[in-house]
Amino acid sequence: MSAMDTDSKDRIFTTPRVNAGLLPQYAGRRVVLVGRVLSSDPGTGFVDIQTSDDARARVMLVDAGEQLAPQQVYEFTGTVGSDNGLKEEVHVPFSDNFDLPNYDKMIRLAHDARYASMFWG
Amino acid sequence: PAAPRPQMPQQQAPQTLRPQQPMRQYGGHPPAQSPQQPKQEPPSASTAGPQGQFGGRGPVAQSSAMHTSAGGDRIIPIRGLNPYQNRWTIKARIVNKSDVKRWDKGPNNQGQLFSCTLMDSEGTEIRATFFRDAVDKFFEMLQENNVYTFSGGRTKTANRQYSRVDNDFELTFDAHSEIQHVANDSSIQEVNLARVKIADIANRNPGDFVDVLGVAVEIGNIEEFVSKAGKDLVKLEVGIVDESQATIRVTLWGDRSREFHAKVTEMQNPIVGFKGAKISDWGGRTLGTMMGSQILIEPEIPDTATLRQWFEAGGASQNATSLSGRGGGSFAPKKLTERNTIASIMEQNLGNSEKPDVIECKGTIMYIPTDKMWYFACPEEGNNKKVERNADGTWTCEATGQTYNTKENRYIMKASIADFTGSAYVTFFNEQAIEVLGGKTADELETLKEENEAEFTKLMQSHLFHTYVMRLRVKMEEYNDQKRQRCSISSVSKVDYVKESKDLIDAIESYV
Repeated sequence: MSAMDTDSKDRIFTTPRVNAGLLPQYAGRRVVLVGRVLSSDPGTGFVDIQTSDDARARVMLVDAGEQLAPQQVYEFTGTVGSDNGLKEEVHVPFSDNFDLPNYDKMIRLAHDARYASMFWG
Repeated sequence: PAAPRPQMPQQQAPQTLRPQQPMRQYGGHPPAQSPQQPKQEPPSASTAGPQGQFGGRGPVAQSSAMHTSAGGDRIIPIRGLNPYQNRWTIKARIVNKSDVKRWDKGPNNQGQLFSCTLMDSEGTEIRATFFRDAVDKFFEMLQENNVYTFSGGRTKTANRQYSRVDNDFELTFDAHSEIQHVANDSSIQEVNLARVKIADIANRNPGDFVDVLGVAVEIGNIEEFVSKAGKDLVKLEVGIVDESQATIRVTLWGDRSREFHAKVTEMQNPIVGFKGAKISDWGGRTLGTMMGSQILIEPEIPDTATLRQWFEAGGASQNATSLSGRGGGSFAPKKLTERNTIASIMEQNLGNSEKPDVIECKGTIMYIPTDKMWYFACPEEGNNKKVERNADGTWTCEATGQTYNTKENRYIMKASIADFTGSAYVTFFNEQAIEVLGGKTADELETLKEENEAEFTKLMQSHLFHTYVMRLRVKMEEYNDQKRQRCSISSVSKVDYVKESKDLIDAIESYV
């Protein structure tokens, strides 16, 4: 599975940090999504998270049987599906004092049309 | 009022003849032993009853019940004191205690003294000075803010030149005076702080005295230096902020600064008050403590609670105006946008004026040379002077000549710090070095180095590449005909990443 655009002239190598609102723009792309666990189902392997823009997203864990700690903030790296869910490759727990609103401000600035080229091309 | 006692007329006569002498007559000679006092009771009760209205000059072993009795007729108000009456007891709180002043100008001109301001339940204040042996007897015992009964003192006209206390008289006490600690008397006001908001100090004149209360947000290091007159001076600079959103630098002088420093560095943003601080226009507006100033830590007054609430609700994190200009700058943590880059130290040619430049920057510790990280200091409390090793293993203080069995290591740690613009070598003194070395004192580090060099190296490595927000003092100094910028760290704090990222975003957003 390649998260990169297959057009050879337009190879994109970056993995942008996004929030739930930006997922539709990156369908098929590998992205990094940070959010707080709302529910984690070790039966289906689905995790519902609250992202930094206070919206919801669904992550499909690579290990379906894993259970993530509720209310813990994680960083997920994976591919955006057609349903705007994330099919994860890996996840990392963040510390308890991680400030989601701050993070969201950074995302908005980094995706601003004037500056996005500094970050994700 | 007690019935007149046989001895009173007797002792009063000499009083009128030799007004300067009365203390000598009574001092240390319990009337109980005088044959003219047939009614004298056993020492422990000798000062009760028969001795009358103003308490006694009896043996030192007086029952404290006598002085703290609810019977106020034993204790007179301070306003009742006058030079013609020497048998009195007053009950007062020590609202101010000075350092001991010693002098030695020759075989016949040596001495020591300290003074206090006493305040009674009526709020009357009076200055009291303790000379010679009284210093040895009473200096340690008398604590600011405690209440004592005093008798055996002499009243004389006040020398207003030396005292700001509003009283025509002042007291002197000697070794024969009697002073007893009593339980806190709430009828005597704790502290009367007529506080002026820091922002208003800008409107006051230099030379005026003022009372302030604020949160100590910046506590400098004890600085020892020799004045132009050749005197050994000790000072401490403290930055305080209050609800008027203004900060000001306060300089504390003398041994009191050491005591203050020791106490407040253990505390988190303590509320401190200064009574009778002098306003100076040096460096904008600053405050200095004089011998008569009072230094308070967490005073029990209502304003302390209000200030604490304001501070904890984030009051001081907004922009505070600094009244103290360059040579210190704002003592509230500087805004991120007011920080200097490390490259700017050279670029802006800092340290060239009379006072060192104080800047704040965020830097990462890159390298710490491990030789000569500390010097050997005097183990005595408050004395950090260098000591030299003697052949027999003892240590002699360079300044005082005293010899000790041990020494105390104190850091003078050089380190290379860097940010995205460049790097610089700086010196960390004891307190700040301990902070960046994870709390290891220089004594502990020396032991580790001697016992397990591998662990020592590992430990030193573990403290590299940590990032801190640091306050630097930069001074251009000449050394062997070469002018070099010397940077020392006056405060260091771990980066609070949540706050730091918020500040960075705010700074960026203000540009876009």
